[in-house]
This record gives sequence, structure tokens and C-alpha cells, in this order.
Amino acid sequence: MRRWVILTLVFFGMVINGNAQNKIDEIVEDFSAPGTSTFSSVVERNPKTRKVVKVVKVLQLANISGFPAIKDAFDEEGKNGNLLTQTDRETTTVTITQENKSEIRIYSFSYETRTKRNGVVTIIIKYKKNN
Amino acid sequence: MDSRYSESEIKKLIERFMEGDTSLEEEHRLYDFFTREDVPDSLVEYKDMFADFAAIECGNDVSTVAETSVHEDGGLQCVQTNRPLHRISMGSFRKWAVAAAASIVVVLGTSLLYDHYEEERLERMYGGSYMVVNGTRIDNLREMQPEIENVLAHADEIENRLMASERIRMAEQTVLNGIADEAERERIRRILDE
Repeated sequence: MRRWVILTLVFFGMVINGNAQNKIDEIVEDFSAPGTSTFSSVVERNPKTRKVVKVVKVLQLANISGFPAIKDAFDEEGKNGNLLTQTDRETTTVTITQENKSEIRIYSFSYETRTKRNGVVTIIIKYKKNN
Repeated sequence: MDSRYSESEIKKLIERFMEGDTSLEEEHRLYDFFTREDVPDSLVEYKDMFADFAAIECGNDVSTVAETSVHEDGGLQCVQTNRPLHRISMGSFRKWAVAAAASIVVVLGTSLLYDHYEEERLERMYGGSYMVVNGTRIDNLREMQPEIENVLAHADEIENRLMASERIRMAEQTVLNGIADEAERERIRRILDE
């Protein structure tokens, strides 16, 4: 009986964790491993409590192979948050903000407007203080 | 050849010396014998060895320099000179060596402690951070520290830009809300969106 309870809890835990990840998170994870990118995942903690304050993930892509998939993911996730697009001659930046009761997620995608190269995807997850 | 000792007697003494059976007196006899000029050819090979033993024996008083010399009667003479041993300089060398070793230990210890403290501090602040550069994962926080600072600065920049955008949007909305005429409000909205 106890085993079933544990298995059920683990299953629900995995489902909840899976839901917390959206298309952009998934695509950044997919692109972080290959050899043509630089990926940084920085966890900022409160030094006194060691509690996580902020997680920042930055994916730098040198080539354009990932561009369509990332653009699609931002277009898709833009429907679930505040979408802001800023374009000038050099750089285009797409920013999505999503907020729930425990965290604020900011997704940003910057790339060269003309060549659609040198894309940088940034994910900022800020945890709210009452959690 | 020394008349006091026959060659065969010396050979026997050498054998007993090698076995460790000789008395102190017998050993001195051997030393005396081998410090003389007329050592027979058959025993010449032992001359240097026994001269060395004689010198060691002579130098037992370690407070001054001991030297062996040949006495008038041809026997071994142990001369204690008044020259002090280099104990003072060795002592000061030891002091310096100990001081240098202590300094090295202090420097190394401090460096290790600092390293440990720094790793702890980084772990408290950024534990769990990592990088993947061209397919290679890096977990060393000290190595990553400049990148961590860059990433956090980049994140702050994005957050500040978003806050500025949000303020502008709210200000524009306030302006638009203040325009009563619908057509004029739409015209202004189009201008702001351009």
C-alpha cells in the first residue's frame, strides 16, 4: 500500500514538473548540449538561507540552424503571457513575461535583425519572496 | 714495517675487527698501525679505511674540531684544536630553515583556507550553477565566476528594460484614457504604436 502511495506521489510530481516546463524551456535544453552553443545556467541564492532567489539560463547560438524552432516556440508561448517585440536596424528582441503565484518568468530572444544570426535566448525565473 | 706488530697478527686483528670482536685497545692498535708509513703491500688496501675510522674515533669530542696527525714516534695522534665547530652557523641555518618552513606553512595554510572560504561563499550564493560550452559541462564555480557575473548583469539589463517598457506602456495608457474623443484617441494610439 505504502509503495503505491509513493509511486502515485512520484508520478504526480513528474507531471507537475513537466507542466512547469514550456516549449521555450524544452527547446533551450535541447540546444544546450550540442557543440555549437554556449549555455549557462546560473542559480542565484540568498547567501544566508541558501534559498533560490533567481535562476537565469542563457543560450548563445552561433549559427542559424536553431532560429526557426526558437522563433516558433516564442510565438507559441507569447499567447500565454505578455509579449513585447522591439526591432531596430541591428537587433530584434522578443520578450515574454509570465507570472503565477510563486514565480515570474521572463523569456527573451535577441538576434540580428537582418541575418537572424547570433541569437541569444535568456530565461529568467524569479521566485516570489513568500514562497 | 712496525716491529711491534707482525703482519699475521695484524691480519688476524683485521679479521676480528670485521667480525666485530675486537676490543677498543685492539682497534686503537689497528688505527696506529695503519697511520704509519711502512704498511706492507699486502695490507695497503686497508690503510684508508682504518685512517677514516681513526679520524672518526678522534672526532668524538664534537665541541671542537678534531684532527689526526702522526706523532713523532710514528703513532696516531689525535689533536683537538680550539676552533669551534660550525655549530653556530648550522644553528642559525636551522633557525632560518625553520622560519622559512613556518612561513611556507602559514602561506599555504592561508591560501588553502582562503580557497575553502571562497568555494563555500560561491556555493552559498550560486550553488547548482553550471555551463555547457561546446558540449563540455563545467561545474567549477570559481572557473565560472566571471560568466556568472555576466549572466546576472545581462538578466538585470533585461529586467530593467522590461520595467522601463512597462512604465512607458502605463504612461501611454494614462494619456489615452484622458482623451475623451474616440477618433482622436485612436489617432494618438496609432501615432504611439508607430
